Amino acid sequence: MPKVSFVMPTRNRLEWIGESISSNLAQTVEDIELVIVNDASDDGTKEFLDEWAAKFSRVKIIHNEQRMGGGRSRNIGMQAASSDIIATCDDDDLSCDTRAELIIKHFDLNPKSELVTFPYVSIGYCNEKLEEFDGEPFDHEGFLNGGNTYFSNPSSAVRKSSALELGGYEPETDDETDDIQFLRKWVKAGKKVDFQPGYFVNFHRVLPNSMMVKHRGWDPNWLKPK
Amino acid sequence: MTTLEVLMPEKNGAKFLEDPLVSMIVPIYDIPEMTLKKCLMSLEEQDYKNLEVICVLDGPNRALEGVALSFQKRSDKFTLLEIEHGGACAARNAGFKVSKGQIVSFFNSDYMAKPGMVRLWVDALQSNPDCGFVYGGYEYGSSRRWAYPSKPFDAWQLQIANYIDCGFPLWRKYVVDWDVECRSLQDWDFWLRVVKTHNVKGFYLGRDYSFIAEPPRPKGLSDDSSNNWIDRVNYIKGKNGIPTRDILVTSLGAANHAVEIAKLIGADFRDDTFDKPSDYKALYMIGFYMKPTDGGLNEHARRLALFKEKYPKAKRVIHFVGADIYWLRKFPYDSLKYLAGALKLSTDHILSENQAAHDELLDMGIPSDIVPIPSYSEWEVKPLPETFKVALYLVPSGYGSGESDFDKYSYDMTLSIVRGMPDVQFTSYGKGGKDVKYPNLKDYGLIPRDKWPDYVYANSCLLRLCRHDTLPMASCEFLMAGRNVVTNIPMEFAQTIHTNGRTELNEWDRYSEGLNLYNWPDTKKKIIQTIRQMRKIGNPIASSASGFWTEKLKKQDYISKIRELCDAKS
Repeated sequence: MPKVSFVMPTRNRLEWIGESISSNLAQTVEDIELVIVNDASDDGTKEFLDEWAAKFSRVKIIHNEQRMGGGRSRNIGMQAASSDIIATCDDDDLSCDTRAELIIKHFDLNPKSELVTFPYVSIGYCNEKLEEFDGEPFDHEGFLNGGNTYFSNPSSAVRKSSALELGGYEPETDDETDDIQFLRKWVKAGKKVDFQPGYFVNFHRVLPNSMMVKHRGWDPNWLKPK
Repeated sequence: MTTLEVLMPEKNGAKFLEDPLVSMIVPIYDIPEMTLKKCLMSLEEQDYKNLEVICVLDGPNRALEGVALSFQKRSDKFTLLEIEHGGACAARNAGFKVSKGQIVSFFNSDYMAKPGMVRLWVDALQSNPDCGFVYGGYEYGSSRRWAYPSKPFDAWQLQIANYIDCGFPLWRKYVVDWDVECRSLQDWDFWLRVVKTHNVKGFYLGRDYSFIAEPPRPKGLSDDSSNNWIDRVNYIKGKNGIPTRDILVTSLGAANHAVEIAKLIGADFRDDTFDKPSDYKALYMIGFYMKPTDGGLNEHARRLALFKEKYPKAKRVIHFVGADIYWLRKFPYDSLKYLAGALKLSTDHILSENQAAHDELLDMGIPSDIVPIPSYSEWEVKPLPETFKVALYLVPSGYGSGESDFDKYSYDMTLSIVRGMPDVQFTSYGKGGKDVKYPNLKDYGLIPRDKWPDYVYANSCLLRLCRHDTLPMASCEFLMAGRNVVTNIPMEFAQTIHTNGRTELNEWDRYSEGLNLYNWPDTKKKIIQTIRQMRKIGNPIASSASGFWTEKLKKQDYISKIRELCDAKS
């Protein structure tokens, strides 16, 4: 039985999913699985997953007949996962090869921990490094009062049982804010968000329509490297 | 046991080659005493021990004899030989007769060897057993200290002009007699016969300059202002059975290409010295690659004026290829206007490769005729390989790498495709794939011309993302071989990725819009979808694509067209 399940919902990201899957499979620990939920893609992602990714024994692929949205797809993936520890992934991000190892270490040392977030690096289109995010311990009170604090969903890992207890991600949220809604529900329920400093666990790709650009006011043209 | 024996333990398998005897033969005639002294001192101070220096005094000269004798007294390396005056070649032959070295160098008496020169030569000769001699560049000991860098060995180019100085060493078994009848350019004649008689090649030392030569003396033999230069060149060519050709091909930025073209159309090629008179009927320049930073905004016009001055009677034909036009677009309007005028005044024909290049040039006020350049090889439609493979041209990006100074081949984006398609096998050629380690990418490095067809036939298609291009030869070759091409440059029968993204900051880049990173995810998806589609259906248009391009790029048409424009007989 795998120790960590990587859960990745995807929709029409044929251009990124190849390298994303490769990075998740290239972990330093062997006993992981990768659950990919294809949310009714129509750009050839389905064929790619069936032709290539399905050949790996550690990959589990679920096709949604109809478009379900990000929140529901995450829940579907989580339910299908065979491990209790879920590493949340986005389909355009890359995981560091030590990600699973760091997650296992964290939950071994902190058996009571339920949700942990790690530092990450943001990258551009050609995997060029844009910015390092070292993170900070999660400020629960500040977050509930509407303050800014560090949390990165695609660099987190959560206990499946605890997440499903809360009902998982909100099914009706749009793809971009599902993680924030889930986090709010989590913190309101009095649960803890842990933070492990020191190691970057994933590379978060910044696309022109992503949250980073919208909320941080980045100029998409600035993303051009060199 | 001596220390040396301890340092060279033969039982460990490490066997050092013995230092062979090196003979330096120095003909001496009519030079200042001080110059000879400097030459012999530089040889005396070489750290290479197994060396003999044979000074051949060409006719009696008390003063120079005294200099040589003083060295002979000091060291038994030096031998003095006096012969009747017979010229440098006779002196060299006489010196060679008494020499015993396995390696021989005919060193001039006005050269100054650099420290470690002989060691450098011997090491190069011993470590390159396939080479008969080594050669390289040298400096001139004038106040301006300029240097002649020479160039990598090419027997064909040696027939056009000499780039190997007489002072460089060769194995004794390859020495040929110096021709005493030869009044000038004896060293060229010597090396030509060495290469022809023994079928050996030379090892090029690159940037390791060997010695410092005195600059050519006024009225001396190597002074190029001597008025019978053409006769002297033709004498050597005739003597060695080298044809005199009536077209000279040259290039700014595409030298390798131009050499092949020259061989194809039966012309000479030169890219180095233009300061010698010649009687070519036409000057055909392929590639006019100049950036605004290369010598200033009016450098194009200056070069054109230079060609007109050096080849006043020749027809001058200029062929714009590759990224020449990309850089022209970076010039300010005034410079372009000046260039258009200069081209009109100093060239007979301006050529471009295809309609797009023609239109671009016309935008800049430069009218041109479309003459596509053919492939050097013959192609036919062959069945696609069993495993689907995509070929890539990887060139390191970035200014200063000397390869692609404006990332012409979109290096990062091309690699991004390789990462995005882990299920597809890629192969790469060019200098950029050396350090790239992906499980689905195999790098072939620089592929020599004779191995190139094998490489093309081993691949199913070519992916070529370019910032600017005219008529890429590689794409044409893949199409003629019945392979597919995925590219962003519009081209008949290629799978053109319509990038139609937002224009880049620089609106001059007419093909690079889609390669703008702003639109890259969409473009990348289109490329991946196209390649997957091709893997699925193969190449149904192979024969029509091959037929179209084979018809368009007929070698014979090209050769006769260029010969006609150059007004030369075939």
